Amino acid sequence: MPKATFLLPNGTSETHEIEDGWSLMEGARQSGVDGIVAECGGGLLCATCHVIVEDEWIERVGIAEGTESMLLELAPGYGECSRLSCQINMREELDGLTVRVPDEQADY
Amino acid sequence: MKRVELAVIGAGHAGIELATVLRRKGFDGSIRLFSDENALPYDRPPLSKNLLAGKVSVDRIALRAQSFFDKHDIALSIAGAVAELDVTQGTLGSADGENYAFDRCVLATGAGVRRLSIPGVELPGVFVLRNLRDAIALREVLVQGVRLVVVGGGYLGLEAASTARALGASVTVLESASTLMSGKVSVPVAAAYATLHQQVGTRLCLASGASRVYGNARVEGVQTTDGELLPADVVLIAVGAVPNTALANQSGLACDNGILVDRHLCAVPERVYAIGDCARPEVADGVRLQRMESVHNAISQARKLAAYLLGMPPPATRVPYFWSEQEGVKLQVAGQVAADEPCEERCVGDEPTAFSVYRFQDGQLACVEAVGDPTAFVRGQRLVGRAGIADIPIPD
Repeated sequence: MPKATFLLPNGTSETHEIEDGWSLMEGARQSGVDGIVAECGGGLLCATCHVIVEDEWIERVGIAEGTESMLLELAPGYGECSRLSCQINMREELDGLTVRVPDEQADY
Repeated sequence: MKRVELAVIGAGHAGIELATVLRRKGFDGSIRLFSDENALPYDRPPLSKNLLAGKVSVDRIALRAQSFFDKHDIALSIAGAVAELDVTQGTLGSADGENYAFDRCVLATGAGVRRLSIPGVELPGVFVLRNLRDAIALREVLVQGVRLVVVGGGYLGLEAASTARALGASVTVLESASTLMSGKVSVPVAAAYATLHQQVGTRLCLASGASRVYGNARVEGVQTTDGELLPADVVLIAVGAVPNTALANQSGLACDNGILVDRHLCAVPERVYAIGDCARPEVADGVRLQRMESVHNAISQARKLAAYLLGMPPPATRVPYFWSEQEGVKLQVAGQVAADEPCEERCVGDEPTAFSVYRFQDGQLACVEAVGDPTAFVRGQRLVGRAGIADIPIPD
């Protein structure tokens, strides 16, 4: 099962196994990772599951496009490597994926 | 008798968010959540979409894992409904036979199905859709070729209709008003979704209701208020939700289409509060709006109450947000219009799949509806309550 590492605002990190095919958000939610709010439950309708993908992973994961990119404009601390974690589907090629959880999520 | 500092009756979106935020903001008193569903708390919107479609499993829609509750020392009782609540004594009786004394209690009991009392609703083959159990039962029968009649053309009925159609059902929707999602969206948006549903073969009967469900051992069809007989294998009753106020009523709390609470979400000072679909707060002295049934509202109220309980300043008021997805087209609604006041509308874009409607009341932008148009939503959402007609350059 692929693993993902979450770098938390308090400086700690957590690594969790996530079922192949589940989104990074679903995996985070299932594993009790704090700071990923996912208010719309993964429907690409909010921006509260925002994560920042570490540089060495962004090419493999891909940058945000279209609707996702539009919604990310609402996310505090949004930048080039920002993704909505509900739009990243875990698979073996992403084993070891490392993302940073922002200090706060959009609140609107 | 066990003691808990904060008892939260209901473990849906409101209850879960309340517990989450309290812990995040440093509340370290004991918290116990009570759920009547015998399941880990789950995300409700997928019940009419991905879960109903069989695209995700139940565990995939869990709102929190057990590890979350353990890590944050949030106790969870999921055995069944809280049977008794004594506000004066500060005690409650849990379904598993335990009694608890609490310092404070929050009712987050949500809403339940509005029943349709027409002949035949008790026949096998008639379903409702509110809880996880309902969704699992309905999922079993939505198979290729099944004939489904949905009574109610609101958000829930339409989402279920869409999911069913994608699974191969042939679908008819009965709606007693003259438009879909009546009273909730503008006419252009209602018309757009009518087009989207009809384009894929779903039959819409507007200004038409169900007078009875007929059949012998099980459902065979629905008779409409016009007298037409609609053969059906499955009937879904989706005519709205009513707040779950039975426990509140029984314990002497004032209710009127929701548990009445003040602007701090308080029903009994220092003792009882209510949030989410079950609550009906004052917004100003003596002024109460209708309840807002949305995840966003449940979360807003949970955050507001958490701050209040901790003596912290209230969070900034959030502009109401509701969303729906039908036939693959997302609807995002920011703000709301006052029902019985005039409203001016401007429509921009390409109906029915990529457009938005700006709704003005008293010269102010009260609501933005974005259909398949996240750009319009993102921009419009920021302007609700902050812009007038003149501020928004819209072609007439």
